[in-house]
Amino acid sequence: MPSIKVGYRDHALLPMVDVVPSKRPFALDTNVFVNALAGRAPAELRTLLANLPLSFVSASTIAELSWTLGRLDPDHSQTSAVVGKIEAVRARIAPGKILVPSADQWAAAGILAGRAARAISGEVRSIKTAFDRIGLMNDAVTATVAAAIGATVVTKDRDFDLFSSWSRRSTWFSMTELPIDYL
Amino acid sequence: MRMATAAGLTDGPKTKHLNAKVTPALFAAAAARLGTQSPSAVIEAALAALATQDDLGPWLADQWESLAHVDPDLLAEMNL
Repeated sequence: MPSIKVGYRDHALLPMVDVVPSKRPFALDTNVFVNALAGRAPAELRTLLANLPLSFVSASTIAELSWTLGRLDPDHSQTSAVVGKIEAVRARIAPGKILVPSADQWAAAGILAGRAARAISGEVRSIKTAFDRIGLMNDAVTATVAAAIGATVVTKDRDFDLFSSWSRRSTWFSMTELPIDYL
Repeated sequence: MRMATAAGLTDGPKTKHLNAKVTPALFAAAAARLGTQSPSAVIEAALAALATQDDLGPWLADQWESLAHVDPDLLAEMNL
């Protein structure tokens, strides 16, 4: 396959979320949950969520939300409130709405993350640490499983813009991506 | 039905017996939408739709700012 120049697009060129959702399914990225609960996202997201007919969550998002349960200091006075809210979120996500990657999808996500890391090597944001790689892998899993069911990913994570670059230029990856905002 | 199947709700033997009266118009409309006159198929589809009804988005919208009062350092640990 010939080399393709891929990188982050200018913010103004990104597709933005529409407050009137289409009937196609949506996949909610981890940052949607966190920013909605914190009230840090644009009001358009709240409107979109209120009108979402069908939403899914990647298994990697479940892992990222659950990270909080293990990571937060149990002695912090507000940890129990946060943990309680995350557990309430988990309880709201029906098992049938969790997109669990197959072995082939894990492999596809690994390739996708690797291509994205290579594409931005040397740019302002590079994938250097193990933590960076884990984050990119989780995003690639979400992109892959969402694409498999034709879902649009709702996210503010600009890495999805890299993933969608290949979807516009090749047929192997067909995800549509709608960043909400880059905070 | 696809989502109910994915959730494992259609696995196993069908042992639950239902006996219900509904208006003919309601049944006819549901049957036409499903493309069958089978009462079992219509009831199963209706139950599947109810069981897999999606309220995650609206619920999350209702939870807006519910953690806004939390220490920013604590919230920062949630951002991956």
